Amino acid sequence: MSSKKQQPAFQGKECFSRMNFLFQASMLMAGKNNALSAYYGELCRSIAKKAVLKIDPNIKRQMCKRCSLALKPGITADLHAETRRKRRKSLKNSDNVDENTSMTLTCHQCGFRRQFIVNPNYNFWLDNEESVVESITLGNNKPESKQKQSLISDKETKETTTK
Amino acid sequence: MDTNIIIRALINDMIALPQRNDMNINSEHITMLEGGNTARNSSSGRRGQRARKSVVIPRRQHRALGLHTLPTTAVSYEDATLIHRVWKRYVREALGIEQGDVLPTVDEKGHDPICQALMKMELHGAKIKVLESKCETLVGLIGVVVLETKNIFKIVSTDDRLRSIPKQDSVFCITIGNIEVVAYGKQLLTRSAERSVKKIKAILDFSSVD
Repeated sequence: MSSKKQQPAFQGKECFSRMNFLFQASMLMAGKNNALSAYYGELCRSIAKKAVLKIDPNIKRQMCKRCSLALKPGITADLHAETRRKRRKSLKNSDNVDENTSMTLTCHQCGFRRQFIVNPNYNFWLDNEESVVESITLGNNKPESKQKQSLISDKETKETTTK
Repeated sequence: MDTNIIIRALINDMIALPQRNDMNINSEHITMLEGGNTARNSSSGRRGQRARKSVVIPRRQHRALGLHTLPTTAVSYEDATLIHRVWKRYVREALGIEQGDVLPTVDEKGHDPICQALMKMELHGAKIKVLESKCETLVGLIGVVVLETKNIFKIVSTDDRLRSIPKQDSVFCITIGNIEVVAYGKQLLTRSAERSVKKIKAILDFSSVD
């Protein structure tokens, strides 16, 4: 039993690399052919759904939640910084402007708006060192350095899910 | 004409006293901008309109956005080659081969895991050639797969046209650098999202059947 358990060192590796490829393809097609980009994004998400794997939030936020289009601010999306009106009075008092600002990302294709609150005091759980249980380095080192950010963050998610 | 009165009152303030009586408003010249309706502009109405959009796209809107089809001339071959370039890197990573490597033959050691990996491989972006097909016009077509459904490959060839090729009754040749893999379309009849999860049935062992 124990030998069997050890064998899959990195479960879902082929799914991760597949999703990585699809995300890159989706990013490539964004702006050129939005329908295709949305299709690849959708596929990437559905693979994650099927294989029950988590996509790293940083990657997830680069896709439209509604139509899965890869969002490139300026090309397929609008990025706005907004200040909330209600708290404008308190804004004058506090030195920290960031606290009341939120970023709005609007998808050009379906018009879906997503709001992210800018808070310098908030610590992302995945950035926290405690969240990492174990890190896996792939056997062949040469392509490792070349790999794009997405796979590496994909791996991070993997680490957190194993917990 | 209450709009006339409003405009008169507005302009009155801007004009010097002696000329006010000469003012003449032609109602045909008044242009109303859309959204001038005050009842709709109330804050509660706007809030209602801005209510959260559903995360799921309704099918009708999905179609209106043009997400469910690709027109025959939508994808250019240049774009397809871009995807193909990314795909090449992906394949080398997925199969764990370097450029110029040769796949192990049936009797060699690493044959089985590579076959498994090949079955689960992503085919979007692959350059394929149709070796055999029931439909003779399809034989010999070379192109990059841009879309895959359960029964169809959609490929883009050098003339920028999108062609659908049914998987069933066709034999494909997938080129990975110097390696050529022959795949029978009948074995590829899965939705591409399900392929990586689906369990591959072992080839029937005839000796055990008897």
